[in-house]
Amino acid sequence: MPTHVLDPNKWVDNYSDYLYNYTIVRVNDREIAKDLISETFLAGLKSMKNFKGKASERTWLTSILKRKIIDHYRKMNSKKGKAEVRINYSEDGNEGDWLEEQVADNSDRNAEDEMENDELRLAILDCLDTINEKQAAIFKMKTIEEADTETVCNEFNISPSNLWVIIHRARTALALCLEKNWF
Amino acid sequence: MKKQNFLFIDCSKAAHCCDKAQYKEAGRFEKLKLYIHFLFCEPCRNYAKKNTQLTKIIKDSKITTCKKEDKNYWKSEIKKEMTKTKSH
Repeated sequence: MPTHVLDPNKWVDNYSDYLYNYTIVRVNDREIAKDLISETFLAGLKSMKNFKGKASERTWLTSILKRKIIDHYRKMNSKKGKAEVRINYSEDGNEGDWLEEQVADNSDRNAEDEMENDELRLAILDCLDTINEKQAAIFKMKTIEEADTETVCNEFNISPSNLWVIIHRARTALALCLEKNWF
Repeated sequence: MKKQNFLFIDCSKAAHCCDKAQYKEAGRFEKLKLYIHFLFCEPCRNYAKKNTQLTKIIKDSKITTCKKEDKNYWKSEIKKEMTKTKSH
């Protein structure tokens, strides 16, 4: 028996941050991530009738997104030959380094750390899903987007003391949830 | 009415101050009162420790949110597609 229903009107508000954090670490390009999420939403709308309600809306959208990411890399691979032609010494007057040498030095970050960060990001968003929608939005704006108190208060039409009460509740709930699911 | 020493704060004020400190919005005097409170309040010290840890993991995770204009773009795309589907 289906337990989950689809509500496309809420997809962006409820899942875009999760889908974006999931995508950006895999494609490492803001514009590509934006396009893939857009394609995911549209593909989701087109295949709504295939949704059986067994998985949650977010899991279902994430599975569509996974396919989109794989397709993106397949397309890139099919253009591989063209990319190889471009590998050359740089001709802009700088030290003639090979393309590989121009890549930023990431030796201080290993793949394991990156993977853990990816999981942590999604765990934080999972935990934020469990708290009140408005509180989560306020917390995200204040903590993740680092907006100043006045901006958040104006955006949500709340007083600074209300803001700090909400932040306190959100932080306490988030810490508890992460303690249970992460540490 | 009980007269309170201006250097001493209760736990709720300490928590409030500790939260503000996570966003670098606590003043020097507020922080001084917070540290005095920590001297004799272990639960608040523990709360502060967890609170600081939370700030650190959020920062280390490099979590990000989508831009408002991106969200508006997706919303309009969804709306357009839904209207198209309905009209067919």
